[in-house]
Amino acid sequence: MNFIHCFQSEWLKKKRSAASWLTIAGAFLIPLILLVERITHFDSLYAENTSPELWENISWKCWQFMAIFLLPMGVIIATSLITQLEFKNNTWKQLHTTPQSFSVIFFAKLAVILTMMLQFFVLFNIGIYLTAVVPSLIFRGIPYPKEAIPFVLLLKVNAKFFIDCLPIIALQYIISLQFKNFLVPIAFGLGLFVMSMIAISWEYAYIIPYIYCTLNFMSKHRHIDPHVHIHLLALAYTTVFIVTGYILYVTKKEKG
Amino acid sequence: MNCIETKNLTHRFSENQTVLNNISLQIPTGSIYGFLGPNGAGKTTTLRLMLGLLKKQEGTISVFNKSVDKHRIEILRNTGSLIESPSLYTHLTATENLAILQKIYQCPKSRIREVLEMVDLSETGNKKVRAFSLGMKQRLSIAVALLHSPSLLILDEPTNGLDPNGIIEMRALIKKLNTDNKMTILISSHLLSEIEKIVTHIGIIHKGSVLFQGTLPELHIKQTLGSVTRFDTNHITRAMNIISENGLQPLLTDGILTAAIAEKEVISTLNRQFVEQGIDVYQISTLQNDLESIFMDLIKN
Repeated sequence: MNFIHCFQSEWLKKKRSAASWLTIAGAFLIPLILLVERITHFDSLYAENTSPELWENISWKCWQFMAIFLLPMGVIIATSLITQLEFKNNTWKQLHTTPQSFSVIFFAKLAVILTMMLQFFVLFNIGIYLTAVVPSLIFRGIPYPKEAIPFVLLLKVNAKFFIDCLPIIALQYIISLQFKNFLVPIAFGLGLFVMSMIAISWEYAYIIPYIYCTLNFMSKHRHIDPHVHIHLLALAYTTVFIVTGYILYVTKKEKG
Repeated sequence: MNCIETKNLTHRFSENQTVLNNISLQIPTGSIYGFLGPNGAGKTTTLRLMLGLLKKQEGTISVFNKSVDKHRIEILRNTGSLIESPSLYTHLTATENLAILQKIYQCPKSRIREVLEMVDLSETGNKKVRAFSLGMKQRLSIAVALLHSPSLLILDEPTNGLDPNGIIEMRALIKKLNTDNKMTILISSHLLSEIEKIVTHIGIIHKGSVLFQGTLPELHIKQTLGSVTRFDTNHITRAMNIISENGLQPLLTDGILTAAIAEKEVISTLNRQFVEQGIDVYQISTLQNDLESIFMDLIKN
């Protein structure tokens, strides 16, 4: 029960915060741009909406921009913002004088970030759906997509990207808990992200924990050993980062 | 019975920087304990150690007769605190800030309104905390500390940023909480005048060491002991001898004799002896040290 109460309390904190706005705006940005692009290319709308591959095409286009750039960037910023709420408001001392164990606080905060990520994925998929459907609601003669939504396929795609984000979340979480200065986790995250972009054609690129979203998207064009299971690697990194972060947090000498 | 007890509490920020040196405090249950000391004396460090915000290095701390190391959560369930500047989520309203803690403490939701009324912030509505004045933030921090009806309240310089009226109201609130709810209150300050009207016990700390600890009447005795009596007579040498014969140490300053005398009976005895010896006494006056000067004397020494 303690964990649930702590989670509820942490969830309330993000209300009206930059991180919660970022989750909503970030999720709808690409689908909105794509929707505008589809509407401006009105001539091809009919063919697209009657195509048997409509969902795959729209989903691929949306993920193209999201996976390579926006998702890792958004995760870096949102995770840092959530954790920085305590530093910014000088509230660590208040939080650490509540009757809760440090473990509960650590995992409740992490759970909030993961739940926000889930929220982001759900909203992003709603955005993809609207990108496909809205033209048929606005324009006469444009039919509602004929093809049924391939739920299983979309779910698999989402699950893989979600797993690939986890190392970024975990490492950003550790760094953000350690440094008061907001720029440190952001600079660290951006640095690693840029590094992963530079190393994308390297055969050992899979050792960089921020690269998995991009590698997942480029599954057919990547240069790494095809036997390397990047999702398992992502999960392994996540576990190591969380355990390290937990030890660092619990053993911290000053808690506010 | 003591609500808080520390024994030989020592804390160092580095090898050469001892912040607290063998601090032993006894804070009786039901008291309002004023923890006094100039800035940098070690007050906040002591309070942070009591709340488990700093890792203890040497000594013991027990609250409600339980060790802070082993029963931290249990102790915090009955403790409210305000350490230094306000700790509030500035993008949220006063009610939302309290709701965050209400979820953790699982106290009734109605308590939010009660504490807001207690600190006169019930009319803030949708106003975000970032738009609050420092005084309002300080009052909201008090509301946060009171939300779960704790039996111990630890306040670190709670009147910081309050206007004179706010300070008076804060004093009244502290007094009321102590009287009505039997709450033990530990309040730190660097100004004796700010808390002497409400405290029952006082601890004075300077450079990491406790210089005085006791009740307010005990401090008043120290005050009396520190008073000086001046004698203006026509025969300084003879008067000086009489004072010395009574076991006192007279001092001559600008033709006036002074001596540290605690009891008024001694003054009348000296006066009688002066008259019997044919010394004309022009004036006898006593200069009493106020609490502030005792505080300053303790710190200087």
